[in-house]
Amino acid sequence: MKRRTFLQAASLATGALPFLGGSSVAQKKAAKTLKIIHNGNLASLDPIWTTAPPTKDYAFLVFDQLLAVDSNYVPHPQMAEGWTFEEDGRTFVLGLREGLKFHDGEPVRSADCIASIQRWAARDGFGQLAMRFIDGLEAIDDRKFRIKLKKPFPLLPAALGKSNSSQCFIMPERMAKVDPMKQVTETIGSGPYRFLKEEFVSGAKAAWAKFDDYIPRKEPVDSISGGRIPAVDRIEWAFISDPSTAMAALIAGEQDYWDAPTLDLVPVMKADPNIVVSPRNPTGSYYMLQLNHTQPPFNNPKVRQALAMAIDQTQFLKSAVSDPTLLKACYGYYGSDSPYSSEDGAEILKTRSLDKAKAALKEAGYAGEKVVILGVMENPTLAAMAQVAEDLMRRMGMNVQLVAMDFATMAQRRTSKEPTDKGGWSMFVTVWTGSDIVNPGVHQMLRAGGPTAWFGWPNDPEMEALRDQWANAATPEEQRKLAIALQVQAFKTLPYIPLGSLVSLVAYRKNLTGVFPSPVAAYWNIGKG
Amino acid sequence: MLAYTVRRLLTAVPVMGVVALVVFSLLYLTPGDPAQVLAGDTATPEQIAKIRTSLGLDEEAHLRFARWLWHVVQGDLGVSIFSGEPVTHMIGQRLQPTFSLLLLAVVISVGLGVPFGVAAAARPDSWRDRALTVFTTLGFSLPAFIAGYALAFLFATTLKWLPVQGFTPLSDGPALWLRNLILPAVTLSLVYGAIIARVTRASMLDVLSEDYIRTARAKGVAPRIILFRHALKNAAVPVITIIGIGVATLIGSAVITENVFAIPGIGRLTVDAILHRDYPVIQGVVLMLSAAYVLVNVAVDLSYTLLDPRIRY
Repeated sequence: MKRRTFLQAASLATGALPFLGGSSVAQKKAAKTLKIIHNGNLASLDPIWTTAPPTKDYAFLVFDQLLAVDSNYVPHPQMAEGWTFEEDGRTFVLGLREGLKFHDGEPVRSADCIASIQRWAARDGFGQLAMRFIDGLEAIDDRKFRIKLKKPFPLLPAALGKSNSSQCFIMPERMAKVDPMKQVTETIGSGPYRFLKEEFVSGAKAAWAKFDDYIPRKEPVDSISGGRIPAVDRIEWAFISDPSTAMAALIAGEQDYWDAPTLDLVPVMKADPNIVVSPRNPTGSYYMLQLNHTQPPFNNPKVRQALAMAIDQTQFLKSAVSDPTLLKACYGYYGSDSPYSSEDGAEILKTRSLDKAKAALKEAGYAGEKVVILGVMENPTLAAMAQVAEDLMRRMGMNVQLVAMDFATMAQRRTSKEPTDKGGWSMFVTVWTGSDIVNPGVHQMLRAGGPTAWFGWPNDPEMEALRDQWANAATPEEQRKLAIALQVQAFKTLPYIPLGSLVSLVAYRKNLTGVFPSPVAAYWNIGKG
Repeated sequence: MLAYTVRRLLTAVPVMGVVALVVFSLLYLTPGDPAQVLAGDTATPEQIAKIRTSLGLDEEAHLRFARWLWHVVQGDLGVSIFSGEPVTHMIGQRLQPTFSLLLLAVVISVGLGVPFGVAAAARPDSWRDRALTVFTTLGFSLPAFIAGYALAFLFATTLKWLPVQGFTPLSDGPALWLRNLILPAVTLSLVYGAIIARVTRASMLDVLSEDYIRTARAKGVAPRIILFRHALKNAAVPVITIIGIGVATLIGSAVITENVFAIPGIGRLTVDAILHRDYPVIQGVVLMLSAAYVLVNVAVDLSYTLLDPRIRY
C-alpha cells in the first residue's frame, strides 16, 4: 500500500515537473548568464537624450563607438580602422573596420556614423565645442567619411572617443535622425550585446544576449579601448534598491556582481571568501561644494576664499567613509588620473585653518547673510557632506540653514537665481566621476560664462578665454600648460570648492573572470567560471 | 441588490474624480522638475526648456489636467515621461508581482488569523489565549522592514532554504513562483494576521455570550460545531470588514516589502515614479489603487448579505 502510494506520488511529481517550471529553468541555466545588481533605475533607452548613468551603462553594451580612450585618456580606434588629419589638420578622415553590423543584420555605414555624430553633438558639451570647429561631414564611401574643419581641432578624436557621458554612440541612420530632444524607440546598436526589449521591465529587469556577429578588436582591453569581448551568453540586470538585500543576494549567489556597494557594508562582504571587493573605477568619485555666485554671500569672491580656507577635505570624506584607504584629498580641479592633474594654484585649499577663515570672512565684510544649503538626503554621502558643511560654516560664524530634500526637488531648486528668502539657494554638494573632470572640454563645472555656466553661474571671462585657448592648442604640451593655467585661475575665482575623492568599489563573486579597471560600468570581457 | 451595487459603483466615480484632482494638484504643488532630472547635469537651460516643451510641462495646469482626464476617460493613462512607455503597460507589468504578494499574504493572514482567534476565544484567559496576545502584540509591533530583514537573514542567508530577493512569474512554474513569495508574504502577514486574530477573538467572545449559543450548548451540540458553524458565521461581519480594510492597508505595506525583497511590483513603480517626478505614472498608479480600494469596499459591503440574512440592500 505504502509502496503504491509512493510510486503514484513519484510519477505525479515527474509528470508535474514541466508545470513546476523545471524545463524553463534548465534552459536558462544552460546559457552562461552574468547577473548584475545595477544601482540605478534604467528608464530611458536613449543615451543621447538623457545622461542618466544607467542609460549610459546600457548603451555601452548595445552600441559601439568610433574611437575610445585608454586609461591615459588617449583615443584609439574602436569601430574605426584608423583616422588621419589631412590638409594641415583641416580635414579628419575616418575609415570603418570591415564587417561591422548592427543587431538587425544591416552593415554599419558612413551615413550611420555621420548622423550619429550630428545627433550626439547637438546634446553633448564636448560635441558642441567640436561643432564650433566643424564645417561639414560627408561620406566618401560606405566605410569612409570625412569631417571638414574650419580650423584645426586636434581634440576631435578625444571628443569622439570620450568615456564620460554622453558618449558618441553609433546608431543606425534612421535612429540617429530622430530629434535629439526626443527619445529613440528602437534599441538597435552594433555593440557586443543585443538588448532583449521584450524582457525589459523599466526599473525592475533588463536583459541582453550576446551578439554573435560582433567583431571585437584584437588589442587587449585598456579602459574603454581595446577588445570588447562578449564573454557570456546573457547579461541580466536586477535593480535592487535596498543595499542590505543586494548584499545578501550577492553573498547567497543569486547575483554575480554589484556595481555600487554601500561602503558601510564593505567589511561584511570582504569577510566572505567568495566575494571580491575592489576599486574597479580607477578615477573614483569627486565631491564638490557648488556655490551660487549670483547671490550673497558667495557672490563675494572674498567670502568664497574664506570658506575655502576653512575646508579640510579629510573631514568631509571621513563623514562618508571611515576606511582611510578609500578616501583621497585632491587639491586640483582635474581628476588625479587626468593628464592635467596638478596642485598648481591650490595653496588656498591647503590653508585648513578655521581661525584664518574667520579672519578672512570678517575682512570680506560678511554681514550675516543667510546661507541655504540644499541637502540631498537620499544619497548618504551627499547628505553627510552637507551636514559637515553646515557645521563648518556655523563654526565660522555664518548664518546657515540646511534644507533637506530629495534629488528631484534639488534639481529644480538649484535652477533658481532668486535670493535665498525667495526660494533661492547658496550651495549644494555634488559628485562627478574622474572622467567627467578629466579636461576642460568635458569639465562642466569649470565653465565660467555666467548665465551659460553650470548651476551657480560663475562669471570669469579669463577662465573662458583660457578654455578657448586650450581647445585651439596644437600640441599636448601646450594643452597641458593652458589647462593648468585655467586651474590656477579657477582657484582665484573658486567656481566650486573641491572636497576630494572617494574610491568607487564594486563587489563580485570570485568565479567571475576578466573584470578590468574601467571609468564606466562596462560589462564586456567579464566571464563566469 | 443589483441596484445597490450599481449605485455604489456610480458613487465611486465622483470619489475617483476627486482623488484624481487631489493627486494632480499635489503633484503640481510639489517641487521638482522631471525635465531637469532627465536632461541631466550637463544640459543647458535652453535644452531643459525644449524638453519641458516637448513633454507639455509648460502648459497651464488646468489644461494639462483636462487633457489628462479626457484621455483617462478613454482608458489612456498617458505615457511615462522617462521610459516613453504607456502607463497602462507599465502598471500591467507590475500587477502580477503585487497581486501575487497580496493574495498569498491574505491567504496566510486569514488562514492563520481566523483559527487562532477562534481558538483563543474558545478558552478565554487560558494559556492559548495569552500566547495569542503575546504573538499578536509582537506582530503589531514589528515593522515590516525589520521582520523582512530578520526572515531573509534566517531563511535565505543562513539556512539557504529560500531566495533572498526577486520574483518569478507564475508562467515559470508555481513552485518557483511560491518560493520567491513566501518570505515577503509572511512578512506582510505578520501585522495583518495579528489584526485578524485579535478582531476574530473579540467578535467571537461577543457572539459566544449570546443566548442562542447557550441554548446550543444546553442541547448538547458539539463544541466544534458551535464554534465554527453557529458562532463564527455570526462573528464574521467585523472580521470581513477588517479583511477588507486590511487589503487596502496591505497595498501600502507592500511598498516597503517589495523594496526589501526587490519585488518588481506596483509599490516599487510608485516609489521610482515619485523620486523621478514621473507625473503620468504617479497619477495612473494612484488612480488604479483608489479604484481597487473602492472595489474592495463594495465587495465587503456585498459580502455582509451572504453572512447575515438580516442585512439587505
